[in-house]
Amino acid sequence: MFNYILRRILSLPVVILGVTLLIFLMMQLLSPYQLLASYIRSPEELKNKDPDVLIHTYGLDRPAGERYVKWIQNVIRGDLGWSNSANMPVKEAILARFPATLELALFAVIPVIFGGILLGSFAAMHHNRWGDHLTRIFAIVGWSLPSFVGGLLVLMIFYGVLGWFPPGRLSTWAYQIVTSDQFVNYTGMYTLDAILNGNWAIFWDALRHLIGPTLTLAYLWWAFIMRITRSSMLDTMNKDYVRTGRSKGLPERVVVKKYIRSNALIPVVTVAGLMVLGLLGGVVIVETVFDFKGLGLLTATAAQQLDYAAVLGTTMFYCFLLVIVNLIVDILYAFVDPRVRLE
Amino acid sequence: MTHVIQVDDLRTYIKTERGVVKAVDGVSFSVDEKEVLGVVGESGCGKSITALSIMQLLPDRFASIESGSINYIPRDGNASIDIARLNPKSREMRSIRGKEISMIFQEPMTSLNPVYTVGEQIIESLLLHEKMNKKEAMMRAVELLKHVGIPDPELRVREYPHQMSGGMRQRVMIAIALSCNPRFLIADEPTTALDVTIQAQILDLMKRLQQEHDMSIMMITHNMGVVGLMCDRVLVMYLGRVVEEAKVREIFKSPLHPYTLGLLNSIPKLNPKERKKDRLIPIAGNVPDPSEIVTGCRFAPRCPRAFDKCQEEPPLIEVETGHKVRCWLHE
Ligand SMILES: Nc1ncnc2c1ncn2[C@@H]1O[C@H](COP(=O)(O)OP(=O)(O)O)[C@@H](O)[C@H]1O
Ligand code: SF4
Ligand SMILES: [Mg+2]
Repeated sequence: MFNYILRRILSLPVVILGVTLLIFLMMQLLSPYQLLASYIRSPEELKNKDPDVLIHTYGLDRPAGERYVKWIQNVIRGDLGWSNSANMPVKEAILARFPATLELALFAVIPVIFGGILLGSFAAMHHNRWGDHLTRIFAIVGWSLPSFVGGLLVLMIFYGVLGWFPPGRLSTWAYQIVTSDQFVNYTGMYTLDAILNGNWAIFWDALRHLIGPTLTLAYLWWAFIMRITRSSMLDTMNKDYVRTGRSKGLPERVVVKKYIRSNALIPVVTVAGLMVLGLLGGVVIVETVFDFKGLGLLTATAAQQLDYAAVLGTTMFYCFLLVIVNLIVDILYAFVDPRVRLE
Repeated sequence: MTHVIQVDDLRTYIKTERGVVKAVDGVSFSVDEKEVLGVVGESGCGKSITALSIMQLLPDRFASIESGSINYIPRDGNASIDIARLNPKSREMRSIRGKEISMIFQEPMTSLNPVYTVGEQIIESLLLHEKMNKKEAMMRAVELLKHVGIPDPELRVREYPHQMSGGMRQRVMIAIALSCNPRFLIADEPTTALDVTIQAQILDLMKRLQQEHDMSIMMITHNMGVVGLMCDRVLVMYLGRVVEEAKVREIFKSPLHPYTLGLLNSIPKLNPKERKKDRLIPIAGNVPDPSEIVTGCRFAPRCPRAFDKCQEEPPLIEVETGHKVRCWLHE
């Protein structure tokens, strides 16, 4: 187990090198003038200056190898350039937005994974009976409903009609407290910070704002995890070892738990990892509908405004997340499957 | 001599898209205490379905016991239990499975749960049927592994199935099956999937264990050689029916049914050297699809000695005490 994890961690630098090379390669599609944009904070800076001179100053006309090294050095220092669309350094923009995305993802992941697995195994146990059909309809609706429609429905019902779950991340009064000096921002995730500050009013307010987007995301991904769990369970049910379990005289409940579900969960881990990755990369549409300012919204705005620095920066950040999440998935994999652990 | 199991006119049907397959079609037999009964026949003749019917482990969606009885006679002289009437999921059936009747399957590579250690899989039955605590059960598991000839049992008890070879896994399966000292063991082609050399080892082991544990065994195989090595009596099955039944000595000395003759002529040798020299004489043709057969002797399409009368199905006739055959040639 230890060896396995160590091997995975040792392979990380190689993966990261590959990823940075790939991004750098894509950057070669941009002209030096476009790249220059990430060094310029305001149009004033360009006044009475020759862009070609600036390009030379920033070394953008140097050979690729040299530029790559310099770029990597900057990235390691956390210098990802200036974002024109956010009007702040890219690094700060990401750090300001990521907690919102992370908070949303964490809230969505738990009901999605547990609910998905429970519903999926329920469907499999009721294969081709009404329980299966009902969950199938539930899944198809969730899966085929575009998230802007789902999001708007949630917003309409729970905000428009019932007034329970408003858009945004906080109410105005709460926002004022959060940005004041009395409130310490430990993580940038308001629910967690509110608990750490012992401020329950803020906690409830943050939670109220989270439920709408969480619900929308959960419904979509629920369907996904559920269908994977279901088909994996159905597959596992016919395995020889399940019959062995029954031949021992074990009660059906134990057979389902120890023989069917524990084996069926192995592929679910992979899918769940992909899902977490998707959620962490920001969910543009849900963030837009609920005015929930996260990473997705940042990237989308940057792309619309041809803010190269921010697009490259978020790409870099996303790749970094990908590597981390993959590592976690690999480790989880080893936990659920001894064949991987002892390979 | 007392019976352990008595099967009467068992019919187990399988519903497929192409219609109902009478996989087991009126099979009767019994197994005595400490007896090894061989069940032979080519693949598709209903051997496994017969075994799974006794265990009530049929794939419940499409296979079910239509009629007949399967009486299990408990050791303490209690009244016999008709397994065919029990609900497969009932407590009563579960208390028979693994405790009174155990089964070993054909595919050692896939018959163990990949995510638990072999030790954990052995103690499951012990915790369930014997009133043992976990520690005692683990110690017993080590003993059992040693008993079935696994070296370094203290270490191997903590291994996962994928760390073991096919032969080792089949030994583990045997250990699981024997863990609660069953009275009756069903072995469904336990060596078919193994290398020839390993096959002989496993058969030796089973023979030894059968004597040590005073078990009755139903030994399913398609190899007459295994029957000669292991069994006291044999049941030859063809397309869901018993076509011949006799003592093993009898079957090798004077086989009666043309199908049995065919099987005897196609014994694969357990010794690989002999195997090369000996040309097998296979039975002509293949086992037909059981959903197609209708009338007459079921073996007639492949029988070298078929004649007019064979358009009618022969009954199972007892030609000598304990020697029965289903063929018009021995009327
Ligand atoms: N899972 C199944 N689905 C459909 N038909 C089956 C299944 N298992 C067995 N059968 C049918 O039942 C008949 C008897 O099969 P089986 O008992 O497995 O044969 P054997 O063990 O003698 O090789 C065969 O004709 C086979 O086609
Ligand atoms: S009854 Fe006829 S067809 Fe059937 S085995 Fe005997 S001789 Fe062959
Ligand atoms: Mg079989």
